[in-house]
Amino acid sequence: MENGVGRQILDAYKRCEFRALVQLYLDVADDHEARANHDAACYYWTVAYVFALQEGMDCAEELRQKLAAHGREY
Amino acid sequence: MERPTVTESTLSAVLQPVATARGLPNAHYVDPEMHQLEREKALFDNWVGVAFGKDVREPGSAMPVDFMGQPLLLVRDKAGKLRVFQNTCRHRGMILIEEAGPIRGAIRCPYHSWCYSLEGKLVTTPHVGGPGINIAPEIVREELGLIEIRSHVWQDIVFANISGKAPEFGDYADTLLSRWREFEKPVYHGGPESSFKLEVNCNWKLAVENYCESYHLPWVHPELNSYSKLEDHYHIINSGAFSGQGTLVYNPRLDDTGRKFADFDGLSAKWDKSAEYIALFPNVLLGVHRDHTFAILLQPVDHQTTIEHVEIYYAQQSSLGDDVADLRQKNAAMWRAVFEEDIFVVEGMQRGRNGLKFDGGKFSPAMDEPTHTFHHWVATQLSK
Ligand code: FES
Ligand SMILES: [Fe+2]
Repeated sequence: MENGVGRQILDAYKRCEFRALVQLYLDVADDHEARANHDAACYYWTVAYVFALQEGMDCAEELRQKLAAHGREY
Repeated sequence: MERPTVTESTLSAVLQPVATARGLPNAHYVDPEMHQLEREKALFDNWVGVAFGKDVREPGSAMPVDFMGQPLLLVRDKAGKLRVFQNTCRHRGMILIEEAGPIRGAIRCPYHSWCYSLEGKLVTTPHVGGPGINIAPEIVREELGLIEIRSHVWQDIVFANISGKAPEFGDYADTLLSRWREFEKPVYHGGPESSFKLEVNCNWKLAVENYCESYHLPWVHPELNSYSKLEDHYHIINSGAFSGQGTLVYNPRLDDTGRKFADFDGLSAKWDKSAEYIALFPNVLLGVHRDHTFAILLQPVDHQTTIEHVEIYYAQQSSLGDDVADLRQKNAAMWRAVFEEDIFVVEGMQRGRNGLKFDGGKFSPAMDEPTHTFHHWVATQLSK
């Protein structure tokens, strides 16, 4: 993970900014997906998905579908 | 010291008719092991009051409750139904929720982030099949939802049956529900001053026993008795589930200018002057009057410590208005004073039961029947 994003993620954790975390992890995951790193993409989508579920965000459903398309979620 | 046990002979003495019965022996008050036995048989096998619905009001509201060591989680689900879950993750048994507050989406376990819906369904199990793989053939989500504890909400009181062995709440409390059918209406919590807790140094049963009898009124509550005399009280007995007392002269005078709280709609004339105070066994103490009700949930902390959670509700929304805020204050202060007057007796009875030669006591057949009814009920639970 790129250093700047890493710091942003830690900051968001510290401040319990879960909605921001969702976006940060989503970006990291999409980046990996664009480079065909499917395992890494699914890993970060999973983290984004969990926080999106916790926060009741609409994007949770899209994330579930992405993971399901890779056989990683029901 | 001889280890106290539940023996047939001690319980059979309690199970006699009031005239010849003995009260429950000391062990039922001073022995931690007996307390554990009663926890299972008298409390967990029955419907215990654990919380109030007003504290979990909105969909998504959640509140952890520790009831006698049982970690419970109260959740108002999306449809507005109040549910009681075991506050324990199905994965490694982590406590799920530590503090009351709103759940915005899912209940996420703080350990490995398994997520549950407000309805208790297991929604996701991150990395359970390895990093980034959230499924595994061994992890059958349908079988791993939160454990739901049987619950029932009545008069805003959240009842739970922890072992799952009790009859339906409606069957258990049937006679009381019919007796108070006229109060089966929405109730309106009086607000912050109508909510208070008292921590008392006594076994939970003594709080029940003192609550359901009127014999002590002239001595312990002289003020109450100045308008509500002993002869104006009657006993209420139901050996299966409750006992208590009623008064025939309920006549609140909170205000000199004649302001008062509005009554429940459609009450029969009986309630113009009557009010009733009933202990619904094991741990819920109730009071109904034409204009307000209250409930006290007894939270047994250990064999000699009890927290009384008191909440006062009004019959009509109009009683929550600013114009009667001072009356609500007075009413709450009046009840608090009454309940505080009872503390020295329940604590004194607790200490009295350290007297090795106390034999459970002798009941007055005329005055102590509600108390004996409760002892009889406890003994019956322990004999099951
Ligand atoms: S203990 Fe809850 S997810 Fe592991
Ligand atoms: Fe009293």
